[in-house]
Amino acid sequence: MWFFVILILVSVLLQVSVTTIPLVLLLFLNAVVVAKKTWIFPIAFLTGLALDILLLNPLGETSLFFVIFLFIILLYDKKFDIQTLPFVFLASFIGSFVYFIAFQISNIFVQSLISAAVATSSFYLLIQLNTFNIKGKARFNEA
Amino acid sequence: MPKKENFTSIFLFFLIFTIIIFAVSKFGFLSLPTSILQKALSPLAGSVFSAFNFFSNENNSAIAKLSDQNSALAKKIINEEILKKENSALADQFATTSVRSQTLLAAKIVGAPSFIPGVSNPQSLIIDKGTKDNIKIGNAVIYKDNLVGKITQSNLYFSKVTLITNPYFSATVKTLRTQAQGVIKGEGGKKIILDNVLQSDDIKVSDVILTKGDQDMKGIGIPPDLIVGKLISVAKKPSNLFQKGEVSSLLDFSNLLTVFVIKY
Repeated sequence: MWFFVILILVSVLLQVSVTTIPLVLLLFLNAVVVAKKTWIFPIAFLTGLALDILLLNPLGETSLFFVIFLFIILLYDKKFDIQTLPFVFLASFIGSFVYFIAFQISNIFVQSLISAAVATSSFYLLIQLNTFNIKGKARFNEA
Repeated sequence: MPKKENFTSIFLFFLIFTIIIFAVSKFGFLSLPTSILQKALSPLAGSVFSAFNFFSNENNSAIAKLSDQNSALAKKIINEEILKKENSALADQFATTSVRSQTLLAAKIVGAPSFIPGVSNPQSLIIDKGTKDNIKIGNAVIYKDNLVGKITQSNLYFSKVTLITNPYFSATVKTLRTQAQGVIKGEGGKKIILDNVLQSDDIKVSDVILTKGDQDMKGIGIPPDLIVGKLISVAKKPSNLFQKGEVSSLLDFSNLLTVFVIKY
């Protein structure tokens, strides 16, 4: 849990001062895919507020985006297996794409591709570490 | 297999709560607590930005020096040209020039998110001056007579500067050589698009582009004769209504640490 909080803090700081890639969104996507827990909603809400404050956006804008995005991901979980690399890639690509449009950030397509690559690599890393017992589900037990 | 949690009620709770906060914030009721929180959190973000800037500047110091020299030379050429035109106008007893009563407010950049830090240009800057320092939305932001952008959002302690390279930025401009007028628009990368230049106007590569001036009665807006950049390509097609071109700014926005806001 502490590791997750530190990761959020680092991602927030990087996103407000250094990069336009939505690191926080990608982190929450990985968290919701791996943990599938509802405690992610309040954390996403608070982190969204912090991002809005530091990026001078209207308060609640980012939180609204995060909450709806995570809800859609969890809705997919009812019908499909979301702990797969293709799902993480697609979800992060579409999520980032919509995020860039909503927050008026340019180079949408390239940035979305990079975001998807970042999210998929971090998910792959999580699978390799196998901390959450998802190796078999993500079809990486053949190797 | 772990039992799945019912998340719809939690989602609805946070959705409604967020919408309420968003609505209240849109009407400006939360501006004071937001400003105070931002003031408290910004040193952290500022430190991260400074650290990144320090490492990216180390490699580019020679380029930065050349860029500074280029900028200074361009400024000299423009001043000389303006002086020539003023002399000519005075000699002909036509136009008179008025000294602009403008004050510059130095502002430290505390955030400049870009696609690839240190490589790609940021689209906006967060500066440590806000409405407390009499900054208003629409104020022009400059660095060494070069237009950096304009203030698009502001709270008590901080402001957001939309850069001239941002796709949501546009301004009326003219060329220094022929006074041909046009409109610049950001493209998202390092280049800026010059558009709406009449086919009959004479523009060519390496023309210096200056702002035409776009201020209201209170002086808010972009003053005239600020350097936007140099024309690096021209597209003149007889079938088109207007000429187009690409402009490159003389500034490297990713290496800026301080900018100046023009206050009136």
